[in-house]
Amino acid sequence: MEKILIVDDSALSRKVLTGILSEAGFSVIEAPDGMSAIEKYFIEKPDLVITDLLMEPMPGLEVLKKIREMDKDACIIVATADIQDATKEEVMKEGAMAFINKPFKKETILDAVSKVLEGKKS
Amino acid sequence: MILTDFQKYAIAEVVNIAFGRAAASLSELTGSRILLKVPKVEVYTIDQLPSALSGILNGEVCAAHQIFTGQVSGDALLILDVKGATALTSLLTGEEVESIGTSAKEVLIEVGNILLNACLGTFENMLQVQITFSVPHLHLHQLNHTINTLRIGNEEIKYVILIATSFTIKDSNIGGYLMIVLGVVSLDKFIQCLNSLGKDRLL
Amino acid sequence: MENFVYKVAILEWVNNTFKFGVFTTDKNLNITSWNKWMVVHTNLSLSDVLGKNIFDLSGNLIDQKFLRFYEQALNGQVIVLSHVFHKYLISIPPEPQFAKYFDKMQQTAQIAPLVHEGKIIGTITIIEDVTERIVKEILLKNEKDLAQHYLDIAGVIILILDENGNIKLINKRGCEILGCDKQQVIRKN
Repeated sequence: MEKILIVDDSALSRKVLTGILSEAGFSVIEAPDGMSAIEKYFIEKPDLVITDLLMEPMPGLEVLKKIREMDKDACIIVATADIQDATKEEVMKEGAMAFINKPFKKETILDAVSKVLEGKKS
Repeated sequence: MILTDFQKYAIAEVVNIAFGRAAASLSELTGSRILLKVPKVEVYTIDQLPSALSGILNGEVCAAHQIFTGQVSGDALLILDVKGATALTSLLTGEEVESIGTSAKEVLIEVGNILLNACLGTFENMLQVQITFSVPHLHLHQLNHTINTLRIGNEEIKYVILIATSFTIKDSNIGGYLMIVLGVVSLDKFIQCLNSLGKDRLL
Repeated sequence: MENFVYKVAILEWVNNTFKFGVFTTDKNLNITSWNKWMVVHTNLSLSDVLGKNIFDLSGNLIDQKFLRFYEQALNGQVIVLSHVFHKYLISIPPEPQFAKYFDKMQQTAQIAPLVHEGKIIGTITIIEDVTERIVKEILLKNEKDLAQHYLDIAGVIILILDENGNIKLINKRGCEILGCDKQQVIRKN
């Protein structure tokens, strides 16, 4: 069973995503902030990370960079309300594998997860 | 009437999404990248508001004010202190603004309009409520005067959803408040819609 | 009946006398009304524009880039377009005395939904000519900049005090001589 780490300071967002992913057969771990996300990545070694961007004190971009530093093969999807093109460019430049805007449909997130995980296998 | 933690998270997340859209609109308008943060959501009665904001917003404040009606009705305001308002206008226009003149007021009305439309529009979509908006106005008054104008009209107890926010433009940070003022009936309807969030509408 | 008569009288006034441009559209953004201000300033009569799409008017009067704002209005939102960001909504020349400052009239506009019996039936746009005000702001700023320049090139300290003896203004040379930043002394006694 593939393991996904969800990083978001919104308990509601984490709850909704956990529900969708668990129902789809994934094992889900949650982190409410950047520091605990990095700890959990190190301990749990998830197959995929889905992270929000606007978080404090450690923004999602920082989380992305630090996880990629620890593991250059880390698969990370960014799910954010920030729809500016400049943000997407910055995030993809730092190694994110997909960029999804909130609010998203169940199909959108599952589609992105499956594409990234298939890409990882190949 | 107090919001549960879930309800506060729900409001914060809806406003987060709204601000994502507003930031993109402001970015397109100004050519600068803009970050809008949603740090905190609290609910107060309108009588509690002056003491909740004392020490944070002092003296004259700029308030972009829009009335909304429909299934949920009330007032929406974006409030900045004068210093923050002039700094924001300077950053958005790229010109040094020393005081809130007519052109600066127009800028603040448009920025307030973008933010308030984004918030109310997102609430409308995500909470499945129908809302009609009024033409926005800008007030430049002492905070207490601005709060008192919200009491005028009827004796219904009013609640204020107070959302602290900050704009980051070109590495400068400006703080402000978004206020959604609702009567008891509208707040109740609003809460009912919040409770169904996450079931049909995804974040 | 009396109420209706007053409403008609108000509409007549808006159409013939109002100092702002006002026009309305249906849900497809085809023009349904065009007041006298619009006729005078665009040289397009009501018969020239009635039924036409706002983006198909002669001279490319309204740029396609404003479509998203009209779509928002048709969704129920009120839109404010400040001249600071948008310069103008309707592309028309300014009054002749301002032509040396701007090639287009500077405008602030509002676009709102037109609602009848709870349903959105179209849009209403209100346009204010702000060119004169902007020209005055520019001229005032130029005067202020010139005055500041004279203050800055003066070789002596120049201070302006209010009635309580608090410093309201200090020139550049004053700061240099006193060895301080302007912000350190402004409003100090």
